[in-house]
Amino acid sequence: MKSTLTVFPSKNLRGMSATVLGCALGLSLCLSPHAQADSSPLEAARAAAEKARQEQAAAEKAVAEVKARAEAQAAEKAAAEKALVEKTAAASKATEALRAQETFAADKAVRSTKAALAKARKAAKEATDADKEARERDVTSARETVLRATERAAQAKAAVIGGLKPLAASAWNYEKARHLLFRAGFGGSPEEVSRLHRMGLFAAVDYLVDYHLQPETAGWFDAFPHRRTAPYEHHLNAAQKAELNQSRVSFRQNQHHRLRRAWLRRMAETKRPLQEKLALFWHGHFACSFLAGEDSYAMWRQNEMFRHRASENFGALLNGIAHDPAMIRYLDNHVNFKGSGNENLGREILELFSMGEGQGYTEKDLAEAARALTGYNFEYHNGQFKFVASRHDTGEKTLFGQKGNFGGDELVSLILQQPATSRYITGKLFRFFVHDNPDKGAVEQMAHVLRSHQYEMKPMLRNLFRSEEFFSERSMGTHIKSPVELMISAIRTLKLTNVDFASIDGTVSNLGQRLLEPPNVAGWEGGRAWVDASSLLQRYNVMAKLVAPVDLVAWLQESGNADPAVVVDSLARALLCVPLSKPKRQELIAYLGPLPPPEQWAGKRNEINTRLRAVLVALVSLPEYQLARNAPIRFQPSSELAVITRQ
Amino acid sequence: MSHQPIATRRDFLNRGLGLIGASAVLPDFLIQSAQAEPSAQSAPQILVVIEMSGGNDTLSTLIPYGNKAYVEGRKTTRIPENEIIKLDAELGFHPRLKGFKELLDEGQLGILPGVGYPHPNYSHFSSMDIWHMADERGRCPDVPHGWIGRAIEGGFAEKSEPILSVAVGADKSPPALKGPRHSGITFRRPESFLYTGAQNDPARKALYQKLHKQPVAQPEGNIDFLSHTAVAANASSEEIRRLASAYKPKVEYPKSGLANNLRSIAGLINGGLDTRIYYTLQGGYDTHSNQRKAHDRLLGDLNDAIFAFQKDLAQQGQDERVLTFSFSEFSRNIVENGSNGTDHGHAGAMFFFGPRVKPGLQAAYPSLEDVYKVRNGALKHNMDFRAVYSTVLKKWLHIPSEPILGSFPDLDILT
Repeated sequence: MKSTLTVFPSKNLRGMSATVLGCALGLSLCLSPHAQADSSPLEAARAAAEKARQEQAAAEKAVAEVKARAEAQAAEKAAAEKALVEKTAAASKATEALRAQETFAADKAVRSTKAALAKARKAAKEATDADKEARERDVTSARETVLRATERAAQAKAAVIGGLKPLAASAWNYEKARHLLFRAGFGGSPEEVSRLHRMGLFAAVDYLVDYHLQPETAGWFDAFPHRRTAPYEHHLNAAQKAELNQSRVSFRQNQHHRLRRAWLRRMAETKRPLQEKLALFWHGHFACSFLAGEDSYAMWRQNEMFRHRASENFGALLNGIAHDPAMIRYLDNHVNFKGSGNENLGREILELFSMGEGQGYTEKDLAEAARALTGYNFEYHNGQFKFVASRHDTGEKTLFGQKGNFGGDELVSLILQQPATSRYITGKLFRFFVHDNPDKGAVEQMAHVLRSHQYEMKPMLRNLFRSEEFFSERSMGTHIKSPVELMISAIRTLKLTNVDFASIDGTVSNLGQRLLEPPNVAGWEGGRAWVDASSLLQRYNVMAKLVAPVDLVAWLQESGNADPAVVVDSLARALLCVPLSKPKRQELIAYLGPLPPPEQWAGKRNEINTRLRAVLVALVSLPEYQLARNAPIRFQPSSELAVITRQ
Repeated sequence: MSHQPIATRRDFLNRGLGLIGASAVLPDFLIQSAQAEPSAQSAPQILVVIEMSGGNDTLSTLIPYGNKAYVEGRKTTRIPENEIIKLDAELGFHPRLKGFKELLDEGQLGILPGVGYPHPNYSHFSSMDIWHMADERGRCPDVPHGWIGRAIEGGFAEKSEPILSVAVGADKSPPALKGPRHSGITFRRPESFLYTGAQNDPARKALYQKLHKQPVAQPEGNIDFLSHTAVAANASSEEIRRLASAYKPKVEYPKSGLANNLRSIAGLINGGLDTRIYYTLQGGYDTHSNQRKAHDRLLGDLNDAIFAFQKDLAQQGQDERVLTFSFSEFSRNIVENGSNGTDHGHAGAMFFFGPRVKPGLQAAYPSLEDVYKVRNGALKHNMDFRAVYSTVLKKWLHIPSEPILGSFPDLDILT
């Protein structure tokens, strides 16, 4: 009996069973009664089948081998990745340690250079006449050493905290100082700008950010809470009650008008301009309108809260607003009760005040946030926060995946744990202080600084105001002044006195920015929304009226230069943030015409003032005046301008 | 039809701003209008919107004098029946609305008595915002533009210029006019819509004009936007003041703020200004106390001003192309309060004026029995104000209304 059985080695059961199968098949074929009849095609088929089986077995073996190799490699890969993670962590630790050392060394260098400067100053003071000049030179060079050391320290610190890249100290100039004073404040006179310029970049930024070192405008507004209904009033008739009610309404509205005007005055007169600028920012960010509850006392307390916490910890501001009576009223939280909630405050806290719409919270989070805020209410008669425990939902809430019996304080803490918060807030600050199109990288750098300081804002603000980005071309000459900026900066730049703040209040209201009455909970839109065909003419007209009384003779006399080109240039430099085109400059110079020599100005004061004021008014009635950023004045060589700047 | 001839516009171009040869700087509307030939097409239809601010008491305007709820709810604010100008067995006008009655008899006054919107808002600012934005969400980031701003954009797109919508008698641009490209033109009086910084000194005026003729040093971004806005402002200021001061009305207008505004509008229409939608306001309707005294005077002013306006337009041959309507943010409670006045209610009457209006009541008076039971009762609406806007846009101004307002039924209020 012929056997087609072939035995071949197999390493596994599959192979074995194939062999067995092969044997069985072979045997069965052998035992078949017809087997002997057609042996040739059958044999061929058998051979083909065997071959196929062998190939299958070989392929399965190959697959198994590849799989085994892959598993080994995967294990290697995992091990390699783990090693990489560990090495990266070690490397960043090492980098941090190095940067910390560098920063420490840089700070130490600053301290020692400052000590050297103090020594040099002392020596200069005590020097005899002969040595005086040499000692003065020592002081100057010591100062420069301090500046360089401060710059290196600032750069080391910036590297450690990972924020925006600082401006090179050598790039600091008068125009940048003016830019800083406008954006981190409300601008100032050329003397104030020069003073800031002389401080150098770092000291200038510190001067503005550390405003608590400047005197405060105490007692700027006497605010009175509403009068509570006295018991006897229940016995009055309807007409008498109506009369009393009307007198209360009048009182509230009057206090509201006075508060707006007082705040404008404060902005114009403060020695802490960044604090007021930030208070204005927070008012637009945590937008809340007097018109909702007509509680002027509560609006004042809210304003003071913004002012006191302006550059402190953002969590304190958020917590403050969650407990703020005016905001509670504005967003209906006084009817947010356990079991019958009102989502308005909870929603706006997440959507507009901290994280930004759709940035890391769900609709469920919104509902839970509202539950956390139930029972947050206010006392009507004195505008104070009141917690109504019986209306507070003490059930378990799930917020951002965490469970607990959360109240408002916990809500704020949880919000601060979400990185989206740091990005949203820094994005808004960027758009307010720099320009309208922040790139994500810059915002992320600012956000990183904010987060790494647990939401303390001063380090982030300091980093921002020192950065290249803040002084970049992109942020030069693009910001359309808001009505408040327009008016207050003119008052401060030109040092106007006897300003009627009721009139200023009316003006900014007509131009669309009535303080304490933002149009909706998103605040003021800003940018191009401030300007249309009608409001632009209004802006020209109010500026012309405001600057009309400026005594320009006194303002320019000290320069001692009667050249009309120089006069026009110095006015343009003080007021404008984009260059005048040559034709416009020529028109103004032609209009002004030749002036008599400065010695003769005193006698012809009115006549000269009239001509100078016409130029001033013409400058503030230009599209260029509506913008606020300092751009380098390109059309004039700086040597001519130097004559006008005061020391 | 006496339509101010195109020659005037050419004259203006030559003299007005001294902009000879500088047509590249002018807004398109001025160039186009100077080149166009007068024809039927060049007298397009115009809408005039009168806002009655504060919440007009419809029950004292179009009075349901026989209704039990009215008689019982109103004591000091009730209009005595013998004084009422009766329209039929149930309704009558306030006695000061004689002009309205005359217009009605001439077929030039239509009334929708109960206009409002779902979910009433009893706050002035919120409700007025809803009317301005034509959206129940009012003014909010999701609704950035007002209905008139959206209408102008929808009707004109790239050809849109600020002159197309003009608000007269206001210090601030009404939110309704805010559009994506511009917010129309707003001024208190035409004479006051100008640059005053030159203080009438011709040399300083010339300096201002020369400076604004020059281009800016680096035209891009915001400075470009500001320059173009300035050009539009200066050009329209010139034309508006010229047309308004040259205007000689055919009737004597009464002395009130609203009458002055309507007189100005008549002058601009007659002068051929390209404006399609005019907007004006009459304030003071928030009559919480001592209503009769204040409200009587207001309705008298409203009546006299609109009557004069309609007669003036008719005599100037402009009335066929002008549709005027009035509205208020809400009307007032059915039952009066304890201070001889009324508090905030809801649905109120809208009045329509012009020869192309379907005269008389075009809907039922809202029920005084089935009311919102808030405080002293508020009327429920039977007409959504957006249906009114939609009809006016579609059938009068020929601007597709659905993209602007959504889908609302056409109302049969025009002939």
